[in-house]
Amino acid sequence: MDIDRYIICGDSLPQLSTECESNTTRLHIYGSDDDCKLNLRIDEIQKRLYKEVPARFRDLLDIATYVFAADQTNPRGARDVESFGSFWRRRFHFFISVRDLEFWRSAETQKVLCETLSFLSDDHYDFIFSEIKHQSSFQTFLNFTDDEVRRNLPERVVMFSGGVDSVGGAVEEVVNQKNPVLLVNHRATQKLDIRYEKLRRLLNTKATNNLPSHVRVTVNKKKSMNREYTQRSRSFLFVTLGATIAEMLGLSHVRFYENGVISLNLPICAHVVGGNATRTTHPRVIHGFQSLLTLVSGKPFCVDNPFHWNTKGEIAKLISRAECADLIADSISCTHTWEISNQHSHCGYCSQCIDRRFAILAAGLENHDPLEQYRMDIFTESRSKSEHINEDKTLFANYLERANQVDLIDGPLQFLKKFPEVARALPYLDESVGARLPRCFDMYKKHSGEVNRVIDKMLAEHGRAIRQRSLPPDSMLRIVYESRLPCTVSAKLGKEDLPENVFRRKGEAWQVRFQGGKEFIVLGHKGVGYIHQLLSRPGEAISAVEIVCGSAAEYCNYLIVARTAIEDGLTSKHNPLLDTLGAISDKQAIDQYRDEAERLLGEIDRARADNNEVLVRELQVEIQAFLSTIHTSVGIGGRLKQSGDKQKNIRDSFRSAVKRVIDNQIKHADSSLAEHLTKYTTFGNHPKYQPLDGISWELSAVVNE
Amino acid sequence: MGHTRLGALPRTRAWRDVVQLIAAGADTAQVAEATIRAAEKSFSFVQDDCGYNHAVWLLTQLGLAGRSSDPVGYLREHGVNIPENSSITEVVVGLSEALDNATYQEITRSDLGDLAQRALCDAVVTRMEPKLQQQSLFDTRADDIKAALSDFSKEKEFAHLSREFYSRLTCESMNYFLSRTLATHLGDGQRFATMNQMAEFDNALETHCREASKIVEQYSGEWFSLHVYQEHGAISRDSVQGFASWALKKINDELRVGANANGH
Repeated sequence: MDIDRYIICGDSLPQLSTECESNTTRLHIYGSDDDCKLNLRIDEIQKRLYKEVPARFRDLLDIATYVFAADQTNPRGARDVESFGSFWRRRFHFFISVRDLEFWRSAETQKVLCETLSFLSDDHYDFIFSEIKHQSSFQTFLNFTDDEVRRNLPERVVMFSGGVDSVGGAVEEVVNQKNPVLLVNHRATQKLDIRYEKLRRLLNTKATNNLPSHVRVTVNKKKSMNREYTQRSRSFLFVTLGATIAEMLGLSHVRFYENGVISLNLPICAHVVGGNATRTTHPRVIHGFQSLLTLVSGKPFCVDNPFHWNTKGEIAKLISRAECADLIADSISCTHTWEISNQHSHCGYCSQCIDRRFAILAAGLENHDPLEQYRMDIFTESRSKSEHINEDKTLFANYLERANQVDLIDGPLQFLKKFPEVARALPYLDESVGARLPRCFDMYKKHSGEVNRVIDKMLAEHGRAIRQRSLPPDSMLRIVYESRLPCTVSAKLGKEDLPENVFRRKGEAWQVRFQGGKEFIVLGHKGVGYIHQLLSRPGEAISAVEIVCGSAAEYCNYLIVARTAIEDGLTSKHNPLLDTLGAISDKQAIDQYRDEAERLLGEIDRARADNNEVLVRELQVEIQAFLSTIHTSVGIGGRLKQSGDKQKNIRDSFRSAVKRVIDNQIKHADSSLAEHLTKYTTFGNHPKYQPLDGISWELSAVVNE
Repeated sequence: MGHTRLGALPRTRAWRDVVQLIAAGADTAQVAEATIRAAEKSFSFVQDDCGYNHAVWLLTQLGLAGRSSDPVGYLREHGVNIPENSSITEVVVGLSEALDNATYQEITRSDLGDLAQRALCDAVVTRMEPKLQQQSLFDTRADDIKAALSDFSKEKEFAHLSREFYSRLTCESMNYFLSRTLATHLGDGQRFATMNQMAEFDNALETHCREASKIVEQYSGEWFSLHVYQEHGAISRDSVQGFASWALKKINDELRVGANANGH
């Protein structure tokens, strides 16, 4: 798979080879409304505040829009396990025409831009800039609507997603600090409009003398362009929009509010590598944004995240202390926006829903986060409600396990050992060098404390239901509780209790041990059943047909219903299907065909002597039919051909099945058993297992008590 | 914000066997052996991975730095940005950054490089931490770090460092595949009735991987000493790449026979 992607933007006209064409995407912001068109919309900003936006910011907005669109239109590799994730990373070549060519071509700008984006989305970036030909008016694509009178001149722009963290940020700015701010919201879906409006009204009621300004931005494109859902570059467009609005207002400060645990987003399990865990507000990304915006604006530009050292639980408490807890119910954290309905604003199983619910409970604010708004109860319901049950189980199990592991870590260096990804953030944290790692550790420790306290609390609350086993087996509380109940599959005997030689069914697989060695599992395969039957009658030559039929019957018994299988005659040793069908034609008939053919040959000779060519041709067709019949019935040396020898088929199939199990499974787990079976098993119509040493096997199936 | 992309195992016969073995209660050695067999294609795909190769190269630079009178200066000259009065944390940060800087624009970059970054950081902390006083971990004197780095030039110490690296790398690689499926076997009536049982399996797997990585320990030390001698104190990239390929293959082979060796 080719990872190179060529993105031709606007009026740029690069010369690409024909091989590149198949990996080329064309995008434009200006011009006609076709399938390649991207639309940006910024609502509710006063026209009187509008001033000419510098060319570099207009270029930056173009670049960010194209990067975001290319991110969504170019799928990442799906078969990432086979390639160790190599195809997850794309190699983007952007061809973009810009207004300030010298600036964008400078080595410093390219370095900051490419490094920041590469770390943000885990892709490779290469920008080829050219001079813009047609300078469109800025307003033609930034669509302003202006219905609201602005209250105070804002001091900074604050990104406002509508989740708990950003609500906490708005409360901190507007209610606690009384700062005049402009809240910029990126509209992901129209579904959230009503809730957003409610949140905005509520926030305004809390900020009586310090009403914040609000701006909503929308980026859309044709649905056919949505081919990759991961959207790792989203925050680049988001911060660019915020910075452009800040520039229009004469400001140079954009603020994110996101809790530090999500900001660092350390991997919850081993296969979450690189950008698999988003780096939206990672300290290195925030630093990169700040460096880029400083270059673009030509003066110091600040991008920061004041909640970097806080957990979500602490943010929820901050909201509560400011007497704004009623805002929590209308905040939306769920990322599964397609599942949001009037009744359920949260799915209850995505990572954000899990994190939110734990944080709210840790802060003791469950009264402000009604359980009814979740499609499922995170703690007590089965994950089987989810379409992606396996992914969701993996997510919540690893979320809990990470909290448990952090709880057991006793120092910052052990934390660094366990989560080396934290090293990528340390140089960019606003703290003295020696204190950075301990503070990260403290924050994760606080978070794990919150998670574990919530689990303890919920276990106490649902203790009876757990004990009575009335909760679903895969509900969160059941899997963290050590019930010590017998389980149906992994019934396990201690090694000392296990006989020296074991070959027996255990659930759908087989438990095997040889000469006191280590027990291992052989997966269900018909050959294993054959071996089991041989081992059960050592020294006895057993008909292969009998074993095969017996195994088939056993298989049917296992899969269907024993009674049905018996009624269908599948256990019979004398299955008529297995008998030879005998010769295709008997010898007498063949002799008659031959006589008839000789007669016809004589007639052909006579017709040819009479120059009767028509008759010759007719007789030749007739004789051909006889010969054909004879040839299909008679083999070399005049022996009559037999139909398929079913007994031979069974004999071969038996041998192949047994050898396959020995070579593909047993040999890898215990080569001495593979050698033993190969040496002491003979095949043929009557296979036999005859060990010289009179070895005895435990063959009865594992039964759970 | 804060999304995490989780993956699943391919639906090939080999991977289905791995899943079935877990479900049926196979022990870690057998699961590891089946995983290595199923992952054969993955490992062959990344045999030239730039991240992994650069991590091994940095490992050797730690050993070579120890031979220098100014180990920190040596590392800085070789792309590892460490301040003069650094701590273990800053050594780890410097190595992590050096790895990222060397690979972020490379085409042959895969997840193995990220797993190698984890392994390198872990190995350095594991080997350096005991050498330094507990009370000065975050404010170490330059001489302490210098002394700790100098030790890596010794054959035995380099062997230990290499062993730690491959132990974590093996475990991470194994979990890279298995963490996609293990938690799906959670719940009463399944392989892991509770998370404690799953944690026991994880611990056993870690021990198994650690044992498998022992095979590189002695060889690493000998290889390092030999090449320092043969190449006059500067081991070439080609030599490092050869060692990296050998070590990965050797551990994979060890895991393949691991289940068998444990049997008898």
